[in-house]
Amino acid sequence: MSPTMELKPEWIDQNGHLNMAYYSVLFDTGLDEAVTSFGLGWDYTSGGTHTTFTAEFRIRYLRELHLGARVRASFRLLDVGPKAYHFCQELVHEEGWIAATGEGISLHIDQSGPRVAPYPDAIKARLDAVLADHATLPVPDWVGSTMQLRK
Amino acid sequence: MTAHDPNTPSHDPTALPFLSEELVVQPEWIDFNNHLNMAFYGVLLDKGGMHGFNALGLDENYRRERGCTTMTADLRIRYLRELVLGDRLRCSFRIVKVAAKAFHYCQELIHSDGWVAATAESVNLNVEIAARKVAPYPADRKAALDAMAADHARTPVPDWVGLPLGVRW
Repeated sequence: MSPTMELKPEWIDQNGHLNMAYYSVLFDTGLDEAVTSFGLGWDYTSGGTHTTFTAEFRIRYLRELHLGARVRASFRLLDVGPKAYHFCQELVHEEGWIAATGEGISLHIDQSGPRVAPYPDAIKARLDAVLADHATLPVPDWVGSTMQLRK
Repeated sequence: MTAHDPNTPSHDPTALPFLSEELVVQPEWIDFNNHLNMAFYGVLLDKGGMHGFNALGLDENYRRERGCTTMTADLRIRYLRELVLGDRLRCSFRIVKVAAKAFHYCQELIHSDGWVAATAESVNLNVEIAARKVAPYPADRKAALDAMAADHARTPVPDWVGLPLGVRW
């Protein structure tokens, strides 16, 4: 779980709640610890040769969030490839309920292109180790579902 | 890639692509990669969908006069190209499907040079403000949704709609 995050007043929209776009800010900020633990944090990306890009991200909005809400983000690896990993997150309110779920694909990028590039061995080994660890837990049932209207 | 002149906006919902006014990438949206941060594609898509919602009558008047609003239930973004400070874009709006209390739509963020920077698909809910509950659209708004959906159905749904996420790299 990430550290606790709070909402900014400018993220609240005319519906009086957290605007849909800013859930992404919380998911992105909530990735920092996990990414750093893989060796893909600021120490790695600030060198200017490699970084990570998000290729896809999907959010399911489950509950409204209001100013003053305090949330944390979970992180679970779902799959690891030579140049990318698939992950999911839950934004968990301090009262315990889930405000939103996120599912994303992160790419490893060689900045000289920029182009998608294989992970260095040490980072790939860490990703594989965490994947093996997370694989002991069930995959949330909302992962991989396609978008559709519920009647 | 959408083939059209991105500098000629279409404010006619029946003439696809149905495009927004121009949007410009702002300085506070740029991250340590020196490009538009992933979270702010969502801001562009939100602002870039307003022309669609306004054309459907799902706007400020709707909130004030009918006591209803719209909320996003589901959003999926595919990030195709980087965007940098000052890039100019328009956003398309296409309805995929309409139900009694929600609709499914898709969008493309189209750079002024004509390429697609990102795609999105969303499910949007009709919500009664007082009860904070999902509710059926009033008859006139449902008719507007159905009419726009029928217009948009004359062109195929983009092939990226409805795909699951997975590692291809």
